[in-house]
Amino acid sequence: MPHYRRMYLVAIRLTADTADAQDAVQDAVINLWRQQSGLEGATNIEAYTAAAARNAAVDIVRRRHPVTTLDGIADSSSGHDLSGELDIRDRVKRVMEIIDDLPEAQRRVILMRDVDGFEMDEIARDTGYSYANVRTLLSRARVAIRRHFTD
Amino acid sequence: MKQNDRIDILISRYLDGTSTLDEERALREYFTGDSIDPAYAGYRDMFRAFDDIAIPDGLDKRLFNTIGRLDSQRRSDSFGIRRFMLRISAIAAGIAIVLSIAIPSASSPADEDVLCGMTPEEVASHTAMALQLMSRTISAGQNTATRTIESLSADNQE
Repeated sequence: MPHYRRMYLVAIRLTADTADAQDAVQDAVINLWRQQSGLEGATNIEAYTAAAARNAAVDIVRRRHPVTTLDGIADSSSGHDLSGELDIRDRVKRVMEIIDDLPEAQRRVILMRDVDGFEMDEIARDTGYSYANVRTLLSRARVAIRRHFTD
Repeated sequence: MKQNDRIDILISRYLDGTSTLDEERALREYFTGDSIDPAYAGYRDMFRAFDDIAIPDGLDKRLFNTIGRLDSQRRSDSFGIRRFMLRISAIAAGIAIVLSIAIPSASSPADEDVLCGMTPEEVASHTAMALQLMSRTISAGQNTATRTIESLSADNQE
C-alpha cells in the first residue's frame, strides 16, 4: 500500500474526521519533505511515515479541538459533536483491528478494494493473484469482517 | 423491486466478492444515510466503518500538488540566496572601497589627535592590516555562500 494511504488510515483513527485526516497527511508529507535526510536514514519507511502522520494528526486534534483529549473525554461545553467523533473512532479502530488480524493475503486484497477502491483486475495485476483468487480472498475477508459486526 | 430486495441482492454480491465498485458505492450510500432498515444494523456499522477509512478522492492529487509547490519554492529560494549573497558581497566591496578612500593620509598636523600618537607609517600599516582582515572575512563569507549554493544546486538535481 502506498505510504500516503497508510498515513491516512493512521490519521483518520486519531482525528475521526475526513477533512482533518487529509490535512494531517498533508502536514506530515510537508514535514517529511523538509526532513529528507531523516528519511534516507530510516530503516522502516512505513513506520517512519506512519509516525509522521500520527504526530501531525495529534497536533491537529489539539489545535482544532482543544477540549477533546485523545481518549475522547466529552466536554459538553465545546459544542463539538464528540459523540459522533467517538462513534467514528470506535468504528475505525474496530474495523482496522479486524483487518489487521486477517491473513496477509486477505488483508492485502480487502485494503486494495475497500479502502483504495481498486478494480479487481488491478488487484490481480498488482498482487499476482488470479482474478478468481482475488475474488475468493475478498469474499472471505468480507465475511470475516461481517461476522464481527453482526454477531 | 422493493428497496430491501435490492439491498439484499447487493449485500449478497458484496459478500461473494462479485459486486462492482458502483454497487459497493451504492451500498455505502445507503448505509451511511438515515433511512436504514433496522434489520441491517450490523451491516450499517460495517459499511460506515469502511466509509470512514476509504481514501478520499483527490487526496493523491492534493499531495502531489503540495510536493510540486514545495519543490518550486525550494528552487526559487536557491536562486534568491545566490542573489542575496551577491548583493552582500557587493555591499561589502563597496564598504571596503569607501574605507580605503577614507583612510587619512596622516600628513596634516590636525590629524595627530586622531592618530593617537602613532606615526603615519604605523597608521598606514594598521589600516592595511585591518583592510586585509576584512577582505579575508568577506572572502570566507563568499566561499561559504558559494558552497551553500552548490550544495542546494546538487540537492535540486537529485
